[in-house]
Amino acid sequence: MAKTVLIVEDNELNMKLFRDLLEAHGYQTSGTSNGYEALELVRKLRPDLILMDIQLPQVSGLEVTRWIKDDPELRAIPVVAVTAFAMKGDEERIREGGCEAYLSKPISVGKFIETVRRFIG
Amino acid sequence: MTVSTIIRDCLDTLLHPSARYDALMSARHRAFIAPRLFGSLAALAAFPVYLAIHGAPAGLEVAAFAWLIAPILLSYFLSRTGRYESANILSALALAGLIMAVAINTGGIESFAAIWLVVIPLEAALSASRRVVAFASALALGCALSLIALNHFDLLPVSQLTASHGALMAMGIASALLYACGLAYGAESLARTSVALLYDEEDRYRLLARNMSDVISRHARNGAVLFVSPAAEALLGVPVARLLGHGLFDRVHVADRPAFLTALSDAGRGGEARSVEFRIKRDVPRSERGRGHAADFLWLEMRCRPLHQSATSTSDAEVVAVMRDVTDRKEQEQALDLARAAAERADASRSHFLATMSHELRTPLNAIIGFSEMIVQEDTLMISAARRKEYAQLINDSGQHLLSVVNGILDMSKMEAGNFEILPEPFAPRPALVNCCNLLALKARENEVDLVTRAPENLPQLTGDPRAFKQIVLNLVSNAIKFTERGGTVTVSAAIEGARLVLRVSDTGVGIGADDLKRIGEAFFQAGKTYQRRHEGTGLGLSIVKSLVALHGGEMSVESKLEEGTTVTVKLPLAFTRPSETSNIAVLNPAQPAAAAQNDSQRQDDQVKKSA
Repeated sequence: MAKTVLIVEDNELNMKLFRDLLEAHGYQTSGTSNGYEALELVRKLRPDLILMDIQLPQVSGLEVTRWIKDDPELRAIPVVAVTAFAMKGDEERIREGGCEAYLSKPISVGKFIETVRRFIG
Repeated sequence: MTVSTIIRDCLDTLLHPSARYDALMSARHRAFIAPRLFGSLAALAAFPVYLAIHGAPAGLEVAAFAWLIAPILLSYFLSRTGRYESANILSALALAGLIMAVAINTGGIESFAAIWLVVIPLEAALSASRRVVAFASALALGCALSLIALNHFDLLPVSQLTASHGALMAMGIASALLYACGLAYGAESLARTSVALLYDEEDRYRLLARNMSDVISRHARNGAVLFVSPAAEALLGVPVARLLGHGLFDRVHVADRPAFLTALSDAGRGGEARSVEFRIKRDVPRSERGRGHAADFLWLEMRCRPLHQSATSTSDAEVVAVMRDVTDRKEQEQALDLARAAAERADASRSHFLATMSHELRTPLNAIIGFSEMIVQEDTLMISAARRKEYAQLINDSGQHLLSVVNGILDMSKMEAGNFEILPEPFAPRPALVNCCNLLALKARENEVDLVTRAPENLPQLTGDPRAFKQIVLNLVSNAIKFTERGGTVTVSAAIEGARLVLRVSDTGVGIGADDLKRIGEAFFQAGKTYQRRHEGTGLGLSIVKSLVALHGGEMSVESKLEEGTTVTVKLPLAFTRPSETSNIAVLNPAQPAAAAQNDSQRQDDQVKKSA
């Protein structure tokens, strides 16, 4: 069965990019641009991996990640932050926030796929 | 130089070092040494004269003259040791010895010498020492009693006197009287010296108190003022009498009263010096009045310590305090704090701006690079021709967005650097306005926002930079659309007020919190938290509008209420005039405090940005 990736991303173009890329590599995808909805989807779909944008409307991706990591049932799902916050210190801050990996935008397609594979094969 | 000063100088060299620096003590030492030295010397000088008149002296006479050397020895003793009391006692003993020796040989208590016994306590009186006086009095009385006893029991030797008793008696009384007179003068002189010294001391303190700007006060155990120095009057502008009791405390700033009382009671109880800074109300002198307020506050530093520092007493002591005006220092500190806070805020804004800039550039770049890489790998990813075309379009869209971001940054930095060139020319504002609104009509429709334009047909010509005008309108209107929820309305209106065109852009959107409203339009300022997504954009829109309006010599103001909407008003002079100074944004109508309280949850929406 194909592994499922939940994409949390509020930019439509980037959402399409990640969906197309992952689907081209045989993953199932599901997406949302809203942090609250993301948490509901995680509970409902139990995805194998979450790609998390950090800057989101209403609630930040870091906040959503904390909720996921605070929930014993969801904690095991790896969260990869994919964000345009690429200033000094951003990666540390985001990893401290509980994300298992950090990819800065603009992504490199190769590294992106490689990172996804590292977590869910 | 008079003879007296020469004598005085000679005497001063004889003073013991311990007595040299205390004026009263050295006066006493001088008063002891001088009469003894000169009296003895005079008596010795008279000895040859006596010999010449009387011929060879009797044994008693020789002894008496020899005895006159004793005061010289006593003066020497004092000069060497500085032991004033001992010298006085020895002097009393020497005098008593001489008197007794003469009196016993010349008729006991009836002798002409007996009267000299009176001189012994008189001389001691000059010493200002109770012990010496008591000793001398007892000695004189003892001598007198023993002479009476000797007389009574007839134990006296036969008087060797040759001269008549009456003449000798007269001489004895006269000489004793003279000596007593000398002592009286000495006593008077010493008293005068001590009074003069007292006055000097008092004058010195008075001079200090009058010229010192520091205030000295004494406080009771409960903090009430018992005494306050006259400097308080100049400092606080009220008579000293009105500061006594709780008058001073009543002037202390309410917020500083606990610290003030704590310092006083700590100093009184703890026995250690305490320091406190507090504000105190000052009455403005009548000459400075009429400029708004009748009173203002000074910063005072007060150092207080207990008045009686006895280690044994456990009860609270009275406290003496020194207060000093430190208003200037405090104001400097406050100015420094403000400047530091402003610098820190500017620095934070700049970092925030850079982070935002980087984020806004990276977001479209991600799509551009990602999709183009996918096209490069079209074989492995098995991308169809239709997909390829779609991706090319997406890359193009992202590129366009990126371009607008870059243009915004460039405009902004040009204006920041002050070399954005305004090219004024006459143009009709209405068509420009309508044109801009048409450009944004599509976007408004997408967001389901009503865009209403109200511009009278007869708007006069405006002289200014038409590009800048369009930019102003585009930025304001696209902002308004972006921050308005579905179903809302954006109203753009233009009118003439005096010699100015007034452009108003109102929305029914999310509004801006009071805290953010104060800073909106500040260079690099962008409301909201870094990691929370606001409406997309660079956050430069309103900054650019503000700068463009300022370059036209116009004014921009923002009124807003959370959840109710925002109105931006721009006033541009119809005839272009080079601005003399950059105008600042004016906040006309800050949000209600109640609304401001909820603004944390709203902050992510408060951002103002350039149209994308």
